[in-house]
Amino acid sequence: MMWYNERKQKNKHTQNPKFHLCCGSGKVQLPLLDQPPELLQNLLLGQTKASKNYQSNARTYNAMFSFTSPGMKMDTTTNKGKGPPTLRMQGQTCHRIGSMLPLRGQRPKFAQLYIYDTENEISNRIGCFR
Amino acid sequence: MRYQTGLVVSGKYIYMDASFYKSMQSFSFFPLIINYLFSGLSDNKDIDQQIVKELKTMLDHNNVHAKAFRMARDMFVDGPVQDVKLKLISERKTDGRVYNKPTVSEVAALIVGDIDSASHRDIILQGQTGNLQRIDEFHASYPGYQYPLIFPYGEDGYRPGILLRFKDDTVVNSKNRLTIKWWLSFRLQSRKYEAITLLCSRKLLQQFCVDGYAMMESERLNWLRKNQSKLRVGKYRQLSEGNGGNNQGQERMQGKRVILPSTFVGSKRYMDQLYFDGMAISSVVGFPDIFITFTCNPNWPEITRELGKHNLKPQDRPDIISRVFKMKFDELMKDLTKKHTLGKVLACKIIFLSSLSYYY
Repeated sequence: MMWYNERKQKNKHTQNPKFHLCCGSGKVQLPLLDQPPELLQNLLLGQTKASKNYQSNARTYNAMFSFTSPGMKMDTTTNKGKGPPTLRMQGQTCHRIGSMLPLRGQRPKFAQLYIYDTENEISNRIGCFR
Repeated sequence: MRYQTGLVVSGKYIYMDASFYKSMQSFSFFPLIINYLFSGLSDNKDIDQQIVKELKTMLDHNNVHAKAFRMARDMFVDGPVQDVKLKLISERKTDGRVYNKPTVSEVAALIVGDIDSASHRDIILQGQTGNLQRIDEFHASYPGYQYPLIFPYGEDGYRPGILLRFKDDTVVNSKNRLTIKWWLSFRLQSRKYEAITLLCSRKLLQQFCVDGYAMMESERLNWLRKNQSKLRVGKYRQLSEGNGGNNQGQERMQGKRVILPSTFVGSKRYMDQLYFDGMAISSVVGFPDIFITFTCNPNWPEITRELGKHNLKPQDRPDIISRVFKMKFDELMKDLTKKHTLGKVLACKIIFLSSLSYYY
C-alpha cells in the first residue's frame, strides 16, 4: 500500500507510478509472510475479550515466549521533570541467550522454559513476570 | 502526537570492557524517540492463563525454534546426558529471496561431544552454565528468537548474502546484496497478499521498529569502525594528541579511538555542522524572519482511514504516521520554497526531529 505522493518521480503525473520506498523500485525480492495460525489471527484481529486482552498485552505475551533476552544499559536521568517518559540507552542493544538449563536454585528463563520443568511450564512462564 | 514513553539510543559498545565504553561515552547521539513501553512488562494481573496455554500449543506445533528446543528437552528427559550442546545455526543453504521458512534441522543441531566446525555467528548452547551469550544481529534467526509471536513459524530475518532481484552472481558484493535497511523497509509494508501479523501487533511493532533501528545503526557504526582510514581521521589526530598528551599510559588503556564523521546522523560533528550552517546562513542573508514548527496530527484523515481498517490507534502504526508526515512536510516545503506562498524564500534550514523517517 503506497500513496500516490510517494512516487519516485514527483514532478511527473503518471498512471503507473513507480515507488522506491517499498521495494527499491522492484530491486528487493523477499518471501512474503504467511498467514499466521488461526489462533493468532483471531487474537490479533478479533473483538472478543481474549483478543482485546492479547492486543493490549502483546509485548508481555511475546516476552513470555521469546528465546532471547534483550539487553541494554539504561540511563533514567532524562526522566526528571515533565514531558513524556524517556528511556535512554547507552551502548548497543543486544539480544542474549543463556545456557540450556538454569543453574541450580534459579528459575528457568527464556529459552530454558522450553527445556526445563515443562510440566509446570505455563505457571513458570507467567511467574517470570511476577 | 503524545508519546507515552520515549527511548534514546546512544553510543555502542561491543566489547564489554570499560575502556571502550568510556571512549564512546563522549559522543552524544541524536535521540531516537518512540514508544517503547518497558514499564508495561512488569505486571501480570491481566495475563490470561488460557491464552498462554493456547499460544504454547500453537508455537509447539508451528515454530521451528520451539520444536528444536523441545528436541533438546526430550533428550534430557530420557536421562542425564553428558556433554550435550545445542548449536543454533546461522548459515542457510537456501536462496533468501525465495525461502524464509527453515526446517528444524536447518536452525539447530544437537551435538554430543566436541564441535568440529562452526561459523562465527553460530551460537553454541552449553548444558548448564550461568553465562549469557550475545547473538549477532545478522544471525538469521535474530528476530525469530526475539519475536516468536510476530514470526510464528520461526521465519528467518535479515542475513548477509541475500542477493537483489535479477542478480545471479555467485559473489556477493556491496552492489548486488540486500541491505538491512531494505529488509526492514520491505517488512514494514502492507501488501495485499501478505499476512498482517507484524503490522497489527501494536506495541510489539513499536518494539520491532526500535530493535530494527538499533540493528541498522549497528551496521553503520561497524562500517565506520572498519573504514576509519577511508574517512581520513588522521585530520583529527592533533585533537586527540592535545587531549591526552601527558598521560600516555592511560591513552593506551582507553583503546582505539573511533571518529564519527559529520555524515553520521546524530553524531557530534553532524550536530555541529547543522549549527555552523545555520550561523553561516544568518551571517549572509540576515536573521530569520519566520520560524515554523511543523508537527504531526494523528487525526489526519489519511491516517485515520488506514487505521480504521484494523481498529488500530495512531501509536500502533508509527510507519504510517511518519510516512504521512513526510508527504505533508514535502508539500509544505514545496509551497514555501517553490511556489513562494509566503513571499520569496532566500534561504531555509530544515531540522528533522523524527525517528522513523530514517527508514524512508
